[in-house]
Amino acid sequence: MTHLTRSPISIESLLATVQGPDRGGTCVFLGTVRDEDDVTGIEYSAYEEMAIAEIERMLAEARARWPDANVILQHRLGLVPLGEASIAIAAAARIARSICGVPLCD
Amino acid sequence: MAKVSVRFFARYAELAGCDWSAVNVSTPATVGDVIARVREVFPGTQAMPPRPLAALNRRQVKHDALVNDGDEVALLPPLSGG
Repeated sequence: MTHLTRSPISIESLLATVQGPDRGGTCVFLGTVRDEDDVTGIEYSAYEEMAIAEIERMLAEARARWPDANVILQHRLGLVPLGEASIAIAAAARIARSICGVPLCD
Repeated sequence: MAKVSVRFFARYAELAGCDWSAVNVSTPATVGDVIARVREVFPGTQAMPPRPLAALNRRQVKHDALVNDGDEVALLPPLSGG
């Protein structure tokens, strides 16, 4: 799965990447475009090579800290309409309580 | 003298009128020196904040980081939202 996408983020695809029959707990964080000051959407652009390297660095840090967890992150680029997700993070661990310590929402 | 590539993103690309360029700076030089040169070459970028977020060779750095010939400095607008 790519870390950057110009298509709507597929939560099902994220879950399929991290979940499995040995995974008892899953968390999903979504960052969505919200209605503020008449915003109808946000146009996202990125220094893609740098963004991918940074995302991989963060994921490596998370995997080192929580080796029991499968973690994936995807960020959307281009115009993201109001209410749709611009970023999604999914994490799944064998034991449900061990995933609760992953600060997805920090 | 060092020739440093400069990449502009989003609003900064609009201010510069391009998304890529290169500037020459006298060595030793820092990222801050490159940004000062950018403000001279691309007057529109004077509207950037005093200390814009910068990356040197794809790693975020402070403005006192030294640059070498062939390096790349990327200028990134601040993030917002959440």
